[in-house]
Amino acid sequence: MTRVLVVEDEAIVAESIASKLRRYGYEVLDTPPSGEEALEIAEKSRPDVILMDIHLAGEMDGIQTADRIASLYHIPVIFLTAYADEQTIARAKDAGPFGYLVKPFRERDLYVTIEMARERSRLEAELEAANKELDSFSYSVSHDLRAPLIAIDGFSRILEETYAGYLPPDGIECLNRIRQAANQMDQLIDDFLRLSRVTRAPVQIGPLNVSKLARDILGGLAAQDPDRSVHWKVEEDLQAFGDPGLCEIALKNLLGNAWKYTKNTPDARIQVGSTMQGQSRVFFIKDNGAGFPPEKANLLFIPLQRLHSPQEFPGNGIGLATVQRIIHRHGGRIWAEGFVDNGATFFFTLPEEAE
Amino acid sequence: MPTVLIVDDEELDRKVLHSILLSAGYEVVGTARSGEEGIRLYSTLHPDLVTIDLMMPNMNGMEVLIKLMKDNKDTNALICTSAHSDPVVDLAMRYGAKGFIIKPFQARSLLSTVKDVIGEPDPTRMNIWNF
Repeated sequence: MTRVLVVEDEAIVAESIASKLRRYGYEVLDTPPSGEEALEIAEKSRPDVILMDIHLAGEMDGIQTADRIASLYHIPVIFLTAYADEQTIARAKDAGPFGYLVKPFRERDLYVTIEMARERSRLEAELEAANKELDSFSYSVSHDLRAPLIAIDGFSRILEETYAGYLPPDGIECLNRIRQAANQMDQLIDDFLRLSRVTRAPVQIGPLNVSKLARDILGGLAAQDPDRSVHWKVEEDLQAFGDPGLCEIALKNLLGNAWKYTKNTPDARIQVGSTMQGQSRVFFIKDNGAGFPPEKANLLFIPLQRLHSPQEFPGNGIGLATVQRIIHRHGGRIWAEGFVDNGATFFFTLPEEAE
Repeated sequence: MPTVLIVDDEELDRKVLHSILLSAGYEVVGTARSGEEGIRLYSTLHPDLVTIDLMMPNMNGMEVLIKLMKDNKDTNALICTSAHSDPVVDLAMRYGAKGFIIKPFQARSLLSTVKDVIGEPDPTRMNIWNF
C-alpha cells in the first residue's frame, strides 16, 4: 500500500485530504503541521509520497522543506497549495517537485498526480542505478582492457630492445606494427571513455567567448605542428553560452579536424565565423581541405564511421560523435556541408542566453 | 627511517595509501599526481621505496617503472593495480618491480608487501592503530 505523508498546517484541511487519500486506498502516515516535524517523520518512516503545503507552521516553509527532503532522500514531493503566483511557482520549480496542485483540486487529480509521481520517481531511481552501473563498467573497462595492452606493448619493447639482433628487418617491422596497434587501441579506449563522460557529465552553462577559445586552440595546433602553414581567420566577438569544458572539447575536435584534413592542401585555410539563420545565430568552422561526399554528410556523426582511410588521415571516428553529443546536450544543432577535395563546413548552434 | 614516494593520479588513492603508510610509521616524503611528476620527484627525493599506480593517463605506471629502473637499477618500486593480469605482473617483475599492491588497498597485505621490501617502519613513529 502506498504510504503518504501530508504536511499541512491547517488541521481541518489536513484531515479532509487524509480522508480522500484513504478512500483511494492510500495509507496516511501522519499529518504534521510543520516542515521540521515532516523531516523527522521522513527520516523515521520513509513515506512513498509527500503532499506538501507551502504555507506551514514553524520556521521552514513547504518549499524549503521539499528542498531539504530532495537533498536527503528519494521521496517524491507534490505541492498542494492555494498559491499560484509566478514567484511561488518559480521557487517551487527549483525544489524539483513531482507535481503541483492548486487548491481547491479535484479528488481524481490528486489520485492521478500521486500515481504519476510514484512512477516517475521509480523510473528516476532506475535510471540513477543504471548510470552508476555504467560508471563502474566504464571504469573496469578502462582498467581491464588496458592492462593487457600495457603487457603487449611492454613485451614487444623487450623483444625490440633485447633481441633485435636475432630478428631480420621484417621481424622488427612486425614488432613495430604490434606496438602501433596496441597504442591505437589504447587511444580508442581513451576516446570511448571521453565520449561516455561527455554524455553524462552535468552541463554547466556560462558565458563563452567562442572567438578567444577558437584562437587559443588554433594557436595550440600551430605550436604542435610548426612545419604546417595554415591561414586562419576567426571572426571577432563571437559570444554564446555553454559549458566551458565541454565546448572546449567540441571546438578542439572540430578545429583539429579542419587542421588534419587540410594537411595535403596547398594554401590551407580555416575560417571560424557565424551567420544568422532566421532568428538564431549559427556558428561555422570552414576549411578548404579534403572534404567528403555530400551524400555521406549524415554518416559523419556516427561513432566509428570514417569516410577516409586511416592511411590517408589517421583517426578512429569518435571525435565528431563526441562533438554532436556535446552540442545536443546544450540543446543545439550540428550539421555539415562538404564536397570531395573541396573543403568541409561544420555548422552548429549554442544557447544564446543563460537559461 | 624508511621513506616512501607515492605516484598515483587519483587523489583518493593517494590519500588512502598515504594514511595507511603514515599510521604504520613510514615516512611519506612525497606524492605525485602523474608519471612525469613522479620521475621528477624521485630524482630529487631519493626515497627508499616508490609506489606506482599502473593506470595513469599519458605516462602509465609501466613506463614510469622502466624509466626509473633505467636511471637507477637499485630502485625499490611497487606497482599498484586493480586489474589482475598475469602478463602485466610478469612484465613488471622483468623490469625490476619488487612487488604488487592490489587496489582497493588493504592495510594488512599492503604493509606486509612494503615491509618485505624496505623493512620495518620506525617503531617510535607507529600509530596506536594496530592493523
